[in-house]
Amino acid sequence: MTTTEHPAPARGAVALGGLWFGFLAGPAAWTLQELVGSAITSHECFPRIFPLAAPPMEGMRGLLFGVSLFAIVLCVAGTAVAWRDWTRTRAEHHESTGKARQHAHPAALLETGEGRTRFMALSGVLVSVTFLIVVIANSASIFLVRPCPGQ
Amino acid sequence: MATLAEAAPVRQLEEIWETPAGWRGTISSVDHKTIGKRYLVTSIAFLVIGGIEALLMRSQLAFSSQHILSAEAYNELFSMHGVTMIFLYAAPVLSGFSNYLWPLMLGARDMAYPRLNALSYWTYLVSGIFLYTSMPFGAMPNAGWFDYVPYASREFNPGINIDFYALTLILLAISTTVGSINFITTLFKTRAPGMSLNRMPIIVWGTLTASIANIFALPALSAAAAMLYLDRRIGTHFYDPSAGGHPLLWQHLFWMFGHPWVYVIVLPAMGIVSDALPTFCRRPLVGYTFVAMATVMTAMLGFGVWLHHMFATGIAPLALAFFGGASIFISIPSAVAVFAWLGTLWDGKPWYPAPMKFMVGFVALFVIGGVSGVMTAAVPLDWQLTDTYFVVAHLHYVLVGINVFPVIAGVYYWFPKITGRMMDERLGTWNFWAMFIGANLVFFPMHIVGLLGMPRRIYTYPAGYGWDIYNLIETIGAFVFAIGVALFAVNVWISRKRGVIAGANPWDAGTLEWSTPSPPPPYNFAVIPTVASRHPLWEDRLNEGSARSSIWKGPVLVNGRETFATTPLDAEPSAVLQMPQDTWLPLGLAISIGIIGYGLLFSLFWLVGIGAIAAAACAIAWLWPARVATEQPTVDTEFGVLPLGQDWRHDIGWWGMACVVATEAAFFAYLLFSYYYLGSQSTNPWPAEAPRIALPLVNTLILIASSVAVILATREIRRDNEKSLSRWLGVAVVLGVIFLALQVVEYSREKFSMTHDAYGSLFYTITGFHGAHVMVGLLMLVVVLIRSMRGHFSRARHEAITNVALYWHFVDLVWLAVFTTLYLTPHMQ
Repeated sequence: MTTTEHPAPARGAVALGGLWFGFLAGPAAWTLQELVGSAITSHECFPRIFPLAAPPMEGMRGLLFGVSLFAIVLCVAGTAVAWRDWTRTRAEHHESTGKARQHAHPAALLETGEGRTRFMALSGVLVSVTFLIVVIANSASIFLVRPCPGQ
Repeated sequence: MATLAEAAPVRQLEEIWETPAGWRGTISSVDHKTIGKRYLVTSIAFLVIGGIEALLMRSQLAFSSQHILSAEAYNELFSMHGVTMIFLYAAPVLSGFSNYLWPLMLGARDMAYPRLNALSYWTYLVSGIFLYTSMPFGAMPNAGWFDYVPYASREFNPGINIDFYALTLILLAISTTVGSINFITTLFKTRAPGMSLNRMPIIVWGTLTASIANIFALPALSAAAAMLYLDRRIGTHFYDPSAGGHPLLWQHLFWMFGHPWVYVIVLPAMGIVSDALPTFCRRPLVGYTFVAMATVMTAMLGFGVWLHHMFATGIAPLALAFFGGASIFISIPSAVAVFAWLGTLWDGKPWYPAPMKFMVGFVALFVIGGVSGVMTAAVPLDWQLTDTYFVVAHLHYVLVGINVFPVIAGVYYWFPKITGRMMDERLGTWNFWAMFIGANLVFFPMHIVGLLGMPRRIYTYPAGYGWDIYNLIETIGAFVFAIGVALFAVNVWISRKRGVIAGANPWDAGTLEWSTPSPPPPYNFAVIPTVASRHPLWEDRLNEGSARSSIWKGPVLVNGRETFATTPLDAEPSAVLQMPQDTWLPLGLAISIGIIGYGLLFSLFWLVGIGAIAAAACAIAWLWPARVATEQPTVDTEFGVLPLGQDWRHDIGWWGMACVVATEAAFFAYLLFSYYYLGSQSTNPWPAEAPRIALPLVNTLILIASSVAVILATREIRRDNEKSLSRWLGVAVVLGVIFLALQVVEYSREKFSMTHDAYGSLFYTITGFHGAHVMVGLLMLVVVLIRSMRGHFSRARHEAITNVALYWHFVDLVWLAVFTTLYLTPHMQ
């Protein structure tokens, strides 16, 4: 391009697969936890047309906790990968704007947003952390909420 | 060859892009600006119609024990009001903005699929007309906008009211799905060079997210509506508990669609504010990445909160906790956006013309509606509030606050761009205060009467419950709000002819659309811009860096209707696309689909046949190439030598087909969910008798073999072996036909029927829909077979083969899931 820098000068510093993993790991973990958790508890507590006082499956809470633990690990992994990519692309928005090491504008708050790689990495951090919070809250409910109405 | 030119050949561009005047141009235009304006006008007309229905209801409820309307008329009015506002106004109006603005904001000359864009609008118009023809028939939908079974079942609702509803939603789903596919492909393939993902306006993020949500959510509605129609007209038992069905299946499917849809109709509207509010604060939006990701996360979480509409249906507490948690935490991204807007106001130098007033009003209403949403996400409180007016208050604060106010703000903001004239500021101020005061008068007291126990959807109420004064205030508020809408209409009407001339950038805004004249010429940009930042028009002022966008100099692309294809992440030019000419085919296809709808409504199957033949003829004429090039032409641009007409890899046709495959896969996923859900709820053995497995197993092998044949066909054309291409395509067609024939044989052998029980209903519906997909795939295979025999393909040009192969492999993969579910799992029990 004649008048612009490449929008992702740091694209060689991180793998695209890692950026996507950071972005998608959290939502995938939460989806797994919510769908598996709600399907198992719904079916165990209300298998046909009458609700049960207690789930017939022994160790249901343990199973749900196992799934939740896996979801938490996935979210943490997503956060870690995204964070690593973010730190590796720290200089990108300076490079892509052609203003080496100088902040773009005194009025800019939070970030100026230049650098596609860094944008994707920061997005991964935000998404992973948010879904980590949701997954931890859902995990807590396994111990705080009774699974079936009568128990 | 594309040339670098400061003085672009404007007259030549106009000749190429201009739609002819007169009725031919009217029915054939594929210009995104024309389609966008049509969407805006039509949807706001539906807003007015829905508003009149609301005023009638509020007149009835102004005082206790009134009988202006009968109970039946009231049922029809609140149903039509909801369906009109939710389906015919709230989403289409945002499609109007996006259709008009996207190519202008993205630096392109049109959407990726201009004809599909026209089809989306015409089908929307046909579905709206279809719904309102229920009025002269005296059969308007009457079971509410979410149409719960068993109110909507044939037993309790024997007229054709609900059939109008079900078929309207299917027609609208077609419109919205093709529109969403167009937005997704446009976003990922036709942005201006340099406009990487992090440089897009936020409204683009909103509409992109909403479009992806549509791709995966709408099939749930289509499946639910199709099953409702079959239950009512054919006698299937999806929702019939006496034969293994379950009414809650409707609620699950409807809200699996319905809650993501809530975000579909607010996220682009929030995007309007995120883009327009910074203009009036004289600074960029605070926290762009945070707001963009808040948009994405809201849509993601929106898929996992559907059960909060079903808290009172007896679901296990722990399952409710999961969905309650997600429903509370979805407020985090919403709050992020609110703080970003407040931060922008705080750190900027705001001024408050009419659009800004509406945006600030929106923030206030958003917070009120959001807080009541968090309240109803708490399960115990929701149990108390379910089916009361508190819920009506919440949903109206959300929908009026987060949709209507940003829409009106957006009209004030972009009206100068669309018409070339400013709207009247004084009328705008009156307009704002009437709507803001009216909205709070009508909707806030609903919280109170809800807490006092007033149920929703009652057509009248007795005196003495303490509801009277609040209802009177609400009715006064509704009429004040209506006066505000009337002032808006007057302002639009007067300003479009007599408003002050606007110029290209009257608000001194920073995004690309404001670099074009007002109104923009048919070709949008005389030269295709090259983008260097998020605010191409503010670069000198912000001085974010040394790089500058190139708006006035650049490639012209004047050899026909052309625009750049670019790469999905960084928008690097990858091809020069040749865009289609104006055509009446989208209108013809939409009318054909409407004819099918009326045929199904009145059980006139000859009419269905006529519509289907007309639709197939339009589709084939549409897909048949206007020109055949077996060599890959290239064009020399300032970005280097680029292929003309298609990318080297994954052209826009592939993107469209991939979206089709994604939405169809979701459709089958919802059908299979229905199977497992009803199986888990059935009190009888599921199935009573397992289907025979030998013939389906043979059929499975046949379908797999057909996929192998398609793989070999694709390999042969990559070797430039046309004869072998035709041979393998022919083998695939024959195998597909054998599959369908054996399916018919299997149907004739099964002992159960579609109307026997819910299992039979699902068995025939799932295999029937799959068979229909095989037929569509076969039609596509036959078309490419004929084209291959006529020498249309070569090693360099065979994108149609690649795209049809993608669809055929999808059809085969779905069959593996169907075979496992319907044939294998019964034998595993």
